[in-house]
Amino acid sequence: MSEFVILDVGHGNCALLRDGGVVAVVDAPTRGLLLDTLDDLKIDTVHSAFISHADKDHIAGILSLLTSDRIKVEQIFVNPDAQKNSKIWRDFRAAVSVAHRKGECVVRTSLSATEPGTVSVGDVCIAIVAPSPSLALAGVGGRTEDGRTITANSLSAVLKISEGDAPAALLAGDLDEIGLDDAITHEVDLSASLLVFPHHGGLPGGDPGAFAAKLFDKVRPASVIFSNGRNRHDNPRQEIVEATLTAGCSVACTQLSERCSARAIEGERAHLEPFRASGRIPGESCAGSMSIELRNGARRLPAAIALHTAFITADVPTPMCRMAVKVLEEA
Amino acid sequence: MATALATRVLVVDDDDQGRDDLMDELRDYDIEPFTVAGPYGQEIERMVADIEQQAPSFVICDHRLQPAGLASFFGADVVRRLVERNIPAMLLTMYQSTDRLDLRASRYALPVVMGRDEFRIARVQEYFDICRREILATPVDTRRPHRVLIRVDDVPGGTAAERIDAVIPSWSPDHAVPVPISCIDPAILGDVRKGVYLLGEVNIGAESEDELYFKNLNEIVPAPEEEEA
Amino acid sequence: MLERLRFSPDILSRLGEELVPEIDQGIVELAKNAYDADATECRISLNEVHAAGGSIRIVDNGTGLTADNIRQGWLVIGRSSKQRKALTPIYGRLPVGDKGLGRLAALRLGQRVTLTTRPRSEPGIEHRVTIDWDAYTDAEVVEDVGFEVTTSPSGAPSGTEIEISGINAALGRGTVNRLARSLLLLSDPFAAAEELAQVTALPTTIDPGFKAILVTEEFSDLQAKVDQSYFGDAEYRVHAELDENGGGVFSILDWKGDTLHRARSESPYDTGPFTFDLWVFILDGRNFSTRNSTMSEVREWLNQVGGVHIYEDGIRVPPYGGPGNDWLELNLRRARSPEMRPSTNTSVGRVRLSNADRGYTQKTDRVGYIENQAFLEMRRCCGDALDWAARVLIRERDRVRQTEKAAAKKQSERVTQRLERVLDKSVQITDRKKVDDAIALFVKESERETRSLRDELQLYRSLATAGMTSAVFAHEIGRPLDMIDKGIEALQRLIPEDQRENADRRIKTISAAKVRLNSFVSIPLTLLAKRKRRSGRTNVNSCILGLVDLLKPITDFFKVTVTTSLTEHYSDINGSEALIDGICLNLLMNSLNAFQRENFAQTDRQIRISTEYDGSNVAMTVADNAGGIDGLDIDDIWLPGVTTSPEGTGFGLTIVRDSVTDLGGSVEAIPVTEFGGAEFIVRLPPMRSLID
Repeated sequence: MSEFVILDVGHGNCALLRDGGVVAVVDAPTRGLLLDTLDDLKIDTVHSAFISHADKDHIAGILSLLTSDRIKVEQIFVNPDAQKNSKIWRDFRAAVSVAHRKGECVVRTSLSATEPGTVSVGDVCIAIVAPSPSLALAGVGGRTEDGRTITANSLSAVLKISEGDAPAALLAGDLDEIGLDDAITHEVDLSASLLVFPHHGGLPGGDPGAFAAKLFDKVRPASVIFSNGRNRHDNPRQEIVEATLTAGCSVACTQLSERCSARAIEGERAHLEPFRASGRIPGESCAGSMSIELRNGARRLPAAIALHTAFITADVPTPMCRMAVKVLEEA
Repeated sequence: MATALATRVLVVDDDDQGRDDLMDELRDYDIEPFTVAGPYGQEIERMVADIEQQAPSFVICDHRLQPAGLASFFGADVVRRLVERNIPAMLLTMYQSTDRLDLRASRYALPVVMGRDEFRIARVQEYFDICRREILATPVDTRRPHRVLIRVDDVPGGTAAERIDAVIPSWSPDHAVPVPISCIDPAILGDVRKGVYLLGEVNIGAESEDELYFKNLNEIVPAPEEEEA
Repeated sequence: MLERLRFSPDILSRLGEELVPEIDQGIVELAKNAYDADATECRISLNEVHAAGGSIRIVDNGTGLTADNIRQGWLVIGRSSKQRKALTPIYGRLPVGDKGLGRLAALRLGQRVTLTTRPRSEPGIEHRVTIDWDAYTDAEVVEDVGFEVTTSPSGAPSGTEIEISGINAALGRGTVNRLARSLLLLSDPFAAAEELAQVTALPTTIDPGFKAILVTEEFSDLQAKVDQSYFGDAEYRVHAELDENGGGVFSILDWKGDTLHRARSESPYDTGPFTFDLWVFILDGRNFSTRNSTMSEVREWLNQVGGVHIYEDGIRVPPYGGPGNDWLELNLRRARSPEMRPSTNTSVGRVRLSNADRGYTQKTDRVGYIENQAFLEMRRCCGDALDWAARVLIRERDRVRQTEKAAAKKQSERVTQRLERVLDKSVQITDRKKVDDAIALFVKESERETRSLRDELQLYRSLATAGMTSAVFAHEIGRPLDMIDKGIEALQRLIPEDQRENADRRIKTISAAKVRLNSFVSIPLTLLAKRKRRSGRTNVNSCILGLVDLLKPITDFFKVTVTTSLTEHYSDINGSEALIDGICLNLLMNSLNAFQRENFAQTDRQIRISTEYDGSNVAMTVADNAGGIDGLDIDDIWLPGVTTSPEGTGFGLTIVRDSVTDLGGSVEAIPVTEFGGAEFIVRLPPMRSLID
């Protein structure tokens, strides 16, 4: 039985996957949630760590993973940052040297659709569906064919996680319009039953509604998860939630947006799953950390969904996920 | 795990009025308060012994004990010793600017340090619980140590430096935090320079800078070589 | 028979010496009479006046008096000159003598006065009249005393002599000095004749001017001083004039007379045309090092002639510009905003006005003008000119400062470039790095010094701002404290009976805290009270008592016992409360900090303040038992920035030292005494009563 958790880390992304004793981690922001969770689960080895892109909200936590004296990282996948002198990149290089000194850790300097292409975690397959090699080669600051400037977000790696042939979960990192267009151009199969929406449900650098619609058209998820932080950036954006509901997908956020509730909701929240969640104690979690089952198609646990729904009904004053929209008919 | 309650709380404060006021407030919460009678001069062990003798469940101790002459040592040293003897104890402070840096040096030994304005009598049990858990070696998340990189951004004063300005990227990559030189293992002090990284234990789960502590800063990680442009 | 009003002889005293008690004023009136008689010179000699019985002679070369003039003029007391008087026949002068009361007083200085006069209009003859004042003592009414005007031939030129004999009292040195000064300044020593004509705007035979001379040694010394003209050493000159419409034009000129700044006044002034000039000097060694005159010469000259004088139609109107007279409030303006302001010690000036239309009226006692509209508006205009000048000069100075800063920066850049070039040429490539490193190290060290100076300056600024801010907010503390009281009262009413006792105890705690808060906050407020900075006789004992009382809440909190042992002998000094407060407060805080040192414990904290007068100094001693000065060289403790307290600024003792210096005293520190701590002894010179 695989364990796959989207952790509530506030603003940032962090996913933990374990199957058959093999452990993988995708992104981690600052603070100690990932490490404490690994401690709790008595995990002392991470076989594969993935950094979708060298943004501090995704890479900072991996640094502490590399330097930890309790946890070993065997291999780490990352696309080198073109802005090689950025502070966080130097910090990363220092962390890598520490991991080397500890004796293990292979650094794989390519995370693209062709290399490594796919990575196994027990029976679970992680397929890297973006960036394409050509986009990766263009690098941050380079230009697309139609003249748009490529940003670090454009090069964000997108991971498809599936067990067997069942529909997958798609971790979209901070993918933006450029990255999405590139994937579409290369006719990448982005379909998944569960999507962790790019960039925490924040602005993709273009029209949010249109971007979301384009994305949903290719992914066609049944459910969408936003890994958002209550205290930063007004995520997920209302237009994006609207587009999500219009596309007929269910919505779940790790944390409670201020639009859904002006105040944090303190007290025992029985609906939260038994994982660490950054928003648990301050009452900032909505769904909190969510475990995803993969075997029969990526989806949240029904029991957890039920409890979560009840919580929203009872305690959340103005939930965005319940706003009235017109659901598009299937074409 | 059953939550123990603090029922007998000992208050140490050089300001008589402040201390009496706190004791009154504790009574409001059905806690039996008491104190020790000074003055103690430089005899810190005597104060600790007096406190131990009264077997409190929890001790709330003021940091500055010199103004009204209760003692010439600091509350932080008292709390530290109490915790070492497995007596849950917390520190109250006004966070004067010099205190911040001094407290940071011993923060790893002080489970709860709180500004007077933040302190809420209603949460005494919570503070007690944090201290207790730490004594039982199962610290709360904000107190768990992790071995992390500490980047040295500046060493003001060169060889006469009293602190380094450090960045802990896994805690906050944009935030420079002053770290007392005394936190750094003397064996590596000679190599501490701007740009270099240290490895040490930091509670990166801390929510605010004042909660950060530094322990076992005893390894140097050389700065990665600059790539040619 | 018709009755008449008659006057008792007492009226002579009333109108004479009682009304015009200043001897010099009376004699100056006689000199003015000479001016009105178109004299060019009036000589006044004093004979044997150091004791009673001497005589005073006033001799002029004017047009003299005819028998009729004597009868209808000289012998008539109290005629007002409000009636339009004609200009003098020869030089067209506007007559300045008035009412004759000053003359009366002067003439009554001795037992007898003899007038001898040879009128120009009657050449070859001389009239004489003698008045014996004793004759009036027996008379019933003034009119009963009679005397003859005798006429005799004479070959002497026209003129008048008045001899006052049997002087009633000795004339002291001070009086003679004053007389000399008044006579000297009587006619504007600053003006040339042509300028005079401009003001009066009347056609005239060129008036050679008028001089009043006092035949004494003092006078000639003084004259020598006054004649020296130091105007060229002035830093700048403020000039104001009114045009026909009452609009004011202000300007600042340099010592050459070139205009540096000029402006029109915002509003017109309701008074006649006049001009105002003020020469401002900066008596600073630096300014005078390159000039011909010495600073002390100029200072001496300013002492004699300094002040702003008013010349009405060429003749000085006392007391304006006299010693101690500051009718334009130069000193007050300077006290209010000291930047770029002259004081009466550093400036000399004059206002020249014409009283042709009698807009101004002199007071009966001849000491100044009645402050009517004309006078007040003239004064306002001068004041506005001074304020304008100060503003302009401050702006100029700031502009110069900014330019200097920018220039310094540029200069530093140029120098750096030059250095680069020199290095490029003269240093081998192989050695260049070494040289660069050495220079970098040097620059770093100097920058460090500059940084530390800048830090010090910033600290001073912060401390000053903190002080000012707390003073401002201290005023506001009343309102929230009041609200606390009201809130408590309201709460008390809401508490149920059974909880009252418990509640009352807690309320007492709140009230005690509030009282403590109030006393802490009122400390800066009290210390910054303006009156504390007033300079003058200050009693050290009462300062100390006041301060100890003010600080009681603080010393109580720190559990420190403060005892005072104040001398019963002399304890006045010449200074200000603020300075004494500053010294005591800093020494007290020094002790309080010492008690809190980490490695020191004192269970019975004590501070002792005592004063003593040892015959030459008022000594103030502050001693504590806080362990003494340790770990510092005793000479270093006074240096700014030196402190053993982590939060300390290191300026406390520096302020003590500087304040003591300002008071002309000395301070001594004993690192540790038997009492168990440091002792500071401040010795200050006692206040002496004013000596002239």
